[in-house]
Amino acid sequence: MASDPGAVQPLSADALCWRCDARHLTFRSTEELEDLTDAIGQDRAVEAIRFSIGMERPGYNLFALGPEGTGKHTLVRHHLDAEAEGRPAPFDWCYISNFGELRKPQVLRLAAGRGAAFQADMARFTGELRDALRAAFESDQYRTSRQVIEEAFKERHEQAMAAVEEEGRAQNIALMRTPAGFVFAPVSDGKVVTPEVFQAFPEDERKRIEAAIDGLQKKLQDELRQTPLWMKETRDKLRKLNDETAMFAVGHMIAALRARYEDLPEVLSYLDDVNRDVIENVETIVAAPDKDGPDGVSAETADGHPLFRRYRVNLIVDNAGQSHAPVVYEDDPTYDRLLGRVEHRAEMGTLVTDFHLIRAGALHRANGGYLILDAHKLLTRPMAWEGLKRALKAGEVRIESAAQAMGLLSTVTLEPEPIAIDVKIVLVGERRLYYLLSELDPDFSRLFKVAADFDERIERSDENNLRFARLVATIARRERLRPLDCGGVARALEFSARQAGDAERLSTQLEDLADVLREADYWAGAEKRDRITADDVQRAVDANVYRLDRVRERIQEEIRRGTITIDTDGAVAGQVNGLSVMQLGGFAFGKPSRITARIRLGKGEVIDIEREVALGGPLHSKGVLILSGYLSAHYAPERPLSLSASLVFEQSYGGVDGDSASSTELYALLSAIAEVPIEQGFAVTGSVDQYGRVQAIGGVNEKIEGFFDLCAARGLTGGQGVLIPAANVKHLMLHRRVVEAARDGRFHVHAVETIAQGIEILTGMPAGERGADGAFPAGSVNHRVEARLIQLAEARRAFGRSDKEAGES
Amino acid sequence: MTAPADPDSTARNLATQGLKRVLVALDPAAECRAALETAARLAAQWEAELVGLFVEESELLEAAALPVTQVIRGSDFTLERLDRHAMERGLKAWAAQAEAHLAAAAERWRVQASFRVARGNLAEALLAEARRSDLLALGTVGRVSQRGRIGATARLMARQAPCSVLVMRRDEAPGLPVVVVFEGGERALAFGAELAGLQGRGLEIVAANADLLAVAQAWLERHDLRATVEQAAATEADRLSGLLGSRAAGIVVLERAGPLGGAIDTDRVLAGPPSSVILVG
Repeated sequence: MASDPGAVQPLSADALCWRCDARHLTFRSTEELEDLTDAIGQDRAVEAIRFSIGMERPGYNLFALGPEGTGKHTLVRHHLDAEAEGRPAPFDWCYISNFGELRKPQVLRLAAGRGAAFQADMARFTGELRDALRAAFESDQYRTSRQVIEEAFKERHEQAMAAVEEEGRAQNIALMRTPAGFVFAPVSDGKVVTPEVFQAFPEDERKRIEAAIDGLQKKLQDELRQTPLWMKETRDKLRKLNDETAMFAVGHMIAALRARYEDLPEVLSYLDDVNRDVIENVETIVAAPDKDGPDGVSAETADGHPLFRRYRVNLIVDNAGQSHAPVVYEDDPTYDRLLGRVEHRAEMGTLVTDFHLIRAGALHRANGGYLILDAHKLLTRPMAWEGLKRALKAGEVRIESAAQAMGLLSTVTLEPEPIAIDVKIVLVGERRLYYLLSELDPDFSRLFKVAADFDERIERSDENNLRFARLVATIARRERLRPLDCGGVARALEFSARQAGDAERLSTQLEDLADVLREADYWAGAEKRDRITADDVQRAVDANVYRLDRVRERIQEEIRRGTITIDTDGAVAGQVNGLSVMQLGGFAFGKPSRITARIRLGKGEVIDIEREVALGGPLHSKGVLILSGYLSAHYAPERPLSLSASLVFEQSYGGVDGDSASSTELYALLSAIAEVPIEQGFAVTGSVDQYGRVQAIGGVNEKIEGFFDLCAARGLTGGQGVLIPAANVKHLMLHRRVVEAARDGRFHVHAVETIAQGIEILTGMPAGERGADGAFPAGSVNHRVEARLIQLAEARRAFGRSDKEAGES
Repeated sequence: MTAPADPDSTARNLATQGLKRVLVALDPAAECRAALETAARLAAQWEAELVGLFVEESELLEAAALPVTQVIRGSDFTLERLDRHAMERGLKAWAAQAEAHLAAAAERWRVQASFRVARGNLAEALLAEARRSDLLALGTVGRVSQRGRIGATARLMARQAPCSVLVMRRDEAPGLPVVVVFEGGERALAFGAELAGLQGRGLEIVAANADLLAVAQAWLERHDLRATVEQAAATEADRLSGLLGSRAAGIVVLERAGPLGGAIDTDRVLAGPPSSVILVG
């Protein structure tokens, strides 16, 4: 190992945090900056959005993925709005009655704005229909014509009957109507003869009468058999009269409508259907009640009598007044709100519906444009995702209930004609949803071919700093906040770098930034300032932390009170202060933990107590196993590792995961083996590999601040500090209180690359490098470790031999 | 021109006051039901008793007993032997239907009603019952093939009934006016005004001469009623019958005691556009 322990010095205060020097900013206030119209550092996502918008092929829908608050919605909306403005307003869509099959309403597509006009025209037509028909059917002309037809039938019938009756009368035989039918009977002096009188007639007379009646009956039968034919002829004539009358009454109304829509063959065809239907139903229309039914119950619905509703138009998508293609955001993408629905109305205790109760969904409203949906909401609304996929695959929206779609409902209901859709869908969601859908849903990759991956961090550069400042200016203007002076912007930049957890990066979490700016504006107002300053931004950040850090404060308090035992001075063998990060909601903080190691003679296993009790995660276990590799290869490699070591996070009552404590555990282990005490004024973080190289970890700022706050509370001695991996130095964005303490030499941050560097700082002893003789120098930590391991190996061998002898004897 | 009658006239006590018994001849024909409906409304207006009479004609029973008699069934026009018992059953069924119609009309117009069945000659039975009534309402159906039923009887009643007689055709012309041929009898005007008010028809008065025209106008003024009044274009019954027969009238009111009313040919009036006739006695 080629380390030079003597070279590891505490980091300078300037290395602990990047400070944005307001003097280097080229403006004095955000008032001088133009709005930022594009996103910072989202070139990849912007390119994807543009590609998806421009790609007019099926399946090139967009999934905007990335963490919350990175401005996905805003950016997507901005680009869609810009594109939509250059595209024409889409069609209006109407549902109209299908007179041939009422349960399958037809759909009608009209140019934007003509749907409303057509709806109004048909409403007017319907309103005038009954009056026009009634006027025609109550006219003297119609009455007379009808009476002529009916009288003709009666006349014909009566004449036929009269002829037979007259013939009978000439033979003294009367025709009579009885409950059972027509009867011929002989009469004498105008009266029907009685049976006695009849019997008294001479036989010739009786036979004559009998023959005459027989003949008359046959004639009457022949005449009566003509009656159904005459009735049918009469009905046909009446129907023809009704048709002609209705045609006369509504013909000019239909003709006027036809003239207005002569360029639309579908409308003309529909008007022909209306004309036919009116004529077919003319008698019902004329007889329809004006207001209430006979028993006081309304025979009409809110929109009129059912018979008239069928001629009205249900305009489900009205683009009147729209100058360009729509961009629709559906906040609650339930199945119904997405695909439309057929509503029902309670009438006399039952649910009824008609095509006027068809309601449009977001897909209808966005047809010809763009539809933005939240992926998480879409996936959590029952059946919504399946419904959307079905519509996209079919290229049309079929309005049916979820139960129908699942085949669970067989009740007769409407089956509206599907509407063809041409809509670009944009799903906005977290990355894991995108990856889960890609993995689990084979349809997804076919329907959402374009991914716009939003980055949560961007490189910090002079150019990006300026764009960030413009973004701050844009937010301030958009939110009607006070302008920020250059100090305020500088502080906002530092905040963004801290959010990114990297001194060389800026966060793209716009929502967090906007929150801080709003709150800073509040504090500037409280101070009666007309501009937001660095102090206001800092106060907003600090106040936000204060509001959230109750738990952190309790933990610190319990450590100070000795309930949680963490030493910050003195030296103890086998005991090191580790650092972990706790995340509570959106707030993360560092928590010091005591890590201890104990050893005894054993078979070379390092026991991870956390793992034994199932409190340790797999990454933590991996880190511990690496320690065995380090020990067995680094010390007395020719001898078996003959110790049994146990490692534990003391007073840990929850799960532990991650390998950021593995270097800490290794220090504890080495200290325990070598019986060399470790300075408790230090806390350690960093993972380690099998060669003893210290590797980067996450949450370095929170960890350092967590230990600093404890030490500061107890009083900084100047001998306290934190060991961090050298690879994490670039991530340092520590709070000013830590930086100032470091500047004053009251607290130290050491960046180490190897375990050897770390153990020297912790023990104050040289680590020791193997010499030409292959041995570590006496007095070094490594020498003591190796000596102890050899001792344990010898003891184990001796123990094994005595066991064997005992066995043989 | 037809002026609408004042609807309030239905609530007034006109010269029809004191009419207490309305008789309606019941028969399954539609015309009869129109007569029943009008009779029930008038009875309700006058708070009079409504009496429905169904006559089981003895001639039908005798005909059924003849050995040569067969019936041509109304349903399929085939022949069937007929006997007295079958005819009795049939007449009872007709009577039951008539009674049901009467009860329904009485319920509808909230009028006290009674139903009677008589056996014998139709005309005689009606005349006998009409002697105790103030108004006889009956329908008319055609001129032929209804021998022995109300169609033929209607003409007889118009001539012989001792009370006022209303002969109704099918009530299919609600818009046509009531036309009163006024010969001095205020009761005719009252009948006309009440029928017009009840049925929402206009009222037209045809006065027999200029003096009567003035009387009619004064009567209208006195009762705050509106109607068109004209002088008769003809003073001979024959010509007037023809004119009334071709006039678009819903109901024609005649005075039986008048020189014109008593002589007018009701058949010609009834043959015209949907017209019913009331002969005020």
